[in-house]
Amino acid sequence: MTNGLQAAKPKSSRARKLAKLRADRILYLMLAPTLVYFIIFRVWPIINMRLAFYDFKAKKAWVFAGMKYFNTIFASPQFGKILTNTLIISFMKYVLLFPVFVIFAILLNEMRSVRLRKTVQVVSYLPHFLSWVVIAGIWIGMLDTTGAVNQLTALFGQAPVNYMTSKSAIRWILMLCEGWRSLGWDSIVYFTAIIAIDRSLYEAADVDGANRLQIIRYVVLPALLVPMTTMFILNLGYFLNAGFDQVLNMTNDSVNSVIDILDTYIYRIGLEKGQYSLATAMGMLKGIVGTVLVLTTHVTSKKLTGSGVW
Amino acid sequence: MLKKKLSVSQILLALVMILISLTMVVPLLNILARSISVPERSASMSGLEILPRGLSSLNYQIIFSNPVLLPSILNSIKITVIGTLINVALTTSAAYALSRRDLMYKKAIMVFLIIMMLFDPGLVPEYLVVQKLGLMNTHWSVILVTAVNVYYLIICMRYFEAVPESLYEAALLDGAGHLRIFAQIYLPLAKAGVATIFMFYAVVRWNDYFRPGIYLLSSSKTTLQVILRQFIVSGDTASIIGAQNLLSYNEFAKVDYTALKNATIVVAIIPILLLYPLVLKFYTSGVMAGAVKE
Amino acid sequence: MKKLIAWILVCCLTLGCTAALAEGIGSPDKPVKVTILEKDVSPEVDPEILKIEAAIEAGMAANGDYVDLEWLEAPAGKYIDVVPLALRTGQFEADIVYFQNGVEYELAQEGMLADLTDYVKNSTYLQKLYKDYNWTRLDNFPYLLWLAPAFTYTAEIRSDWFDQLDSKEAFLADPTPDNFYAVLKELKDKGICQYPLTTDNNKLRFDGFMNVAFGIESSLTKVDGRWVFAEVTEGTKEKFKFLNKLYKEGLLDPDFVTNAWDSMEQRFYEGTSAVIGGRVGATTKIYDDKMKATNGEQATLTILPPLKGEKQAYAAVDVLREPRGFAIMEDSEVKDAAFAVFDYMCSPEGRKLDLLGFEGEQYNVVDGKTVVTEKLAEWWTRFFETNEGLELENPLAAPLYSDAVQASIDMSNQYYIEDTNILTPNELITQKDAMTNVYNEYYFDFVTGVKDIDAEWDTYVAEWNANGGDAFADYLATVMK
Repeated sequence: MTNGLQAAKPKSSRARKLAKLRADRILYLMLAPTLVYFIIFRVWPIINMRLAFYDFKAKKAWVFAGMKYFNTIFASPQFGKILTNTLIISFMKYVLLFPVFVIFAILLNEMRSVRLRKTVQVVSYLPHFLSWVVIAGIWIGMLDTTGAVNQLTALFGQAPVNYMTSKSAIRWILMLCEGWRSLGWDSIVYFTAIIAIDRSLYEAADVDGANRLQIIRYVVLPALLVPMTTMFILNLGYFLNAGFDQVLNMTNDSVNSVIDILDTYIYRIGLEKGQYSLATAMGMLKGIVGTVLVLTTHVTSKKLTGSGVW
Repeated sequence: MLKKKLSVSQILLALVMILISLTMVVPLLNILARSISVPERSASMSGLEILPRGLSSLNYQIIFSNPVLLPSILNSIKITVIGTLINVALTTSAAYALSRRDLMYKKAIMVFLIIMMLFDPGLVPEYLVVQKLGLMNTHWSVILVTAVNVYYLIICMRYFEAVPESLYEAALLDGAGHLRIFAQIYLPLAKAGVATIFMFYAVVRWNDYFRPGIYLLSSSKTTLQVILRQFIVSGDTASIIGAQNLLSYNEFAKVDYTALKNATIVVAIIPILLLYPLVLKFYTSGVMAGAVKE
Repeated sequence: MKKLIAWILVCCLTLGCTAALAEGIGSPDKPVKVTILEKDVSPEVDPEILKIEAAIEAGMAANGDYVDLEWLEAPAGKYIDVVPLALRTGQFEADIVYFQNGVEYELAQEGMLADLTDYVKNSTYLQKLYKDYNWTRLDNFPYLLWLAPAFTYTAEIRSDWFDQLDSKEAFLADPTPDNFYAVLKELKDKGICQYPLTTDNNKLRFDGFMNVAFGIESSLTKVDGRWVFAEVTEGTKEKFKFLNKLYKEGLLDPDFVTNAWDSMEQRFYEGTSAVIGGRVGATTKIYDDKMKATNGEQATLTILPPLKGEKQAYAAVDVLREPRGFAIMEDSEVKDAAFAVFDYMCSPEGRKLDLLGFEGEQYNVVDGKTVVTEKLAEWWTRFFETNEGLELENPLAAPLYSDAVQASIDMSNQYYIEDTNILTPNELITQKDAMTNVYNEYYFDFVTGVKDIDAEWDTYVAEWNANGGDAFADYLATVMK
């Protein structure tokens, strides 16, 4: 619209559209590789998801099975429980934990000593480079009966507890552990948004005699609103994931019933037992629910706050 | 008075941050220390010790005696470098196009991308496509299958949207095309953001074990994470030191498994840590401020 | 045109068949190509394999069978996930494939595996090594070949500690759970180790030597005219009570649920614990070797007999199918040649190669005796774990297995009983998964005292039934006699 050349020649709406498309052809060209990628490596596999309605046959045509696999899922005695677990754990990770990353980014920015700040930053990214097996190993070691946590509580006369086997503690442990792993990493987005704030805004606030809290409230937070909305809605897209790798590595017999999630279930039944159609059916359900969840949140957010995913 | 109070809060803040950092750095130093300790003495190390007990390279000798390990590191590097470059190229150019507010059909494209993000077709439907394309057992399978991540694409859009519109308009008036605006204004101005995206992708590439494990069938094509994971998760000792080496260590009984695992962890994270200084360079405040004020 | 092709095919087939009947397999200048896919065995990771290929080819050629054997490169990813997927999508082709963890079940259902019944029945050597349980398994699931001691777990303790105990004689004379308890108690009271009994999350380890003593004699039993799973019978309740007692008194490692196999082994070798459940045969050999390497020769293992209740036996051995093993693919065009390889490996020459390796390397012949060298420690069987079928011209100077390992195998034969069970049909897979989860959780809660066994037992059974027990009951009523 800002293109002066275009505005000079009023045309019919259709012709204007065409002209606009032509003017922006470079933009579409820049988009093209991404779109082509998704069509080949996502749309095509999604078409293959019709497997959910068929019996898999090796090297032969699949046999139509109707809703058989969906019925199996809904008849599964655990499905309700697993869905509930998934939603609870996701809520803890994506909603309760969410502000922590923002606060960490703000605190980082508040640190006066640049050297210390950089050190803290560097260190806080470290856990993200570890795979979940390793993290699980560290945490299990810390929380078992002979671990560091029990050594500490023993000082106060507490009897040792294996926290990893406690049904009431385990979900909080998953959340804490996720927070520990992602504290630095997930705050990057907010931190980069903070350092992108125009220095003159700080200076103006300083001149007005604002204290640190006021600066955070009136200068920093507004700059974080957009990334926060984006991240929050995007996280909703992962709401039915809840962290496959983490659960797989941190679960045990005692607590599995409270942290068994959709993805661990799909892996157990689908890949390990070779039930490819069943796994695909579950993937399809997940995709549908996730899409509805994100698109409705986006529309609501757009109406309420004016900002959404786009 | 006010100044003193401020410094107290600064000290408090510093203390909290140091404490948090310690919870992150101690376990890692412990891993490193245990991996280079003398095996007989390392077994009884607690999780809080960060100094090695004696020095021994046995764990590393065992790991590197696996003939597949070195090639797998090279494969990992190849996939990470080429893959990340493709990731960043596609993501930034698409993000630039989509950050143009007046782009026609933008909404439709966004909805399409969101659906692409949320619909994980699952292993078997994707496998069949990779197979049909003849990509099985080539590095291209892994590189291409994860060429764009919508999540990062949207984050990247946010970074580009933060670039002032006035600069874009000025460049247009100067007669610059989109490619030039993209390369000469957006990429440099949003370089902190692009660096972030770059790092995100690189870490995901480096740590991926699932797809390489499925698509790279032969051990000459496989990656480091696949081998390490086999060892760490399934306790598959044969995979890390080679079946024939497994039994050939007369002293193998004395090897501390945990220390051996720790050594593999160290081998796996050192290459990706080399990215650190590169990325941190971009994280000084005011990177964009100067340019924006014109 | 079509007719012509048909004729050519018929001619080829007849020629091929008569050729195969008349003489051995293949010819010196046209050996039959046979490919094998096996976990951890391929030229890239196991250089020895090329020599083994050549030795097998030469050995078979001497009998008039000409094959060109080739181990394919095994995938580097998780074998049991990658291989079934690659085979079912046609990504991999091989004549012989090794399977474990039951992943071959779906392939068999799709008709991808060859029925081996006739091959085994007509074999020259292989069937001589077949045991009763192998024959039953072949009847039930004729797709896998595996020759090994029964898949049994037994209690094992380091001898130097066991010999110190006053409770030793009483236990060996009458291995009841009470006497086993006395052994553990003494280990703890004398301060010999912290947690005398340890395990990882593999429940078979304890089941192996405990189940029968508590009256659990098969996976399925008929109670009041109704087939039920052992998990909800009185026997399991008694077993839980016993384990709960051990746990309460600090005789059972409190971290048993979160232990991985390596932490369990580490506690065993380093002396935090004294007793574990080990699989008889090859695995026991590894434990024995490592224990000796860590704590000296006197620490060699003593294999404890299974606990004794009304009966004494190891947990019933599954005869539904082989627990792991080799299959021949139905699509293979060289099934006869593929099977001939197995049969050769069961011949005295084949067993010698599989168990002892090569003369001048893994063993030498000295004064008419076969003496194994240090290098045998690096050797492992590429085909069959069993140490039977070895007929040497020059007898071994010392037995292949240590006394402990041989004792574990002998006892597993002595205290053998057969299981009654069914394969889970596909439509009940989610129920089976749910039931297993219920059992696992209550196992932990009951043993550690989170839940009281007497008070909560009925709740547990009700939950078990709701999660699939009832659905199975209907199914069992139709399929079990």
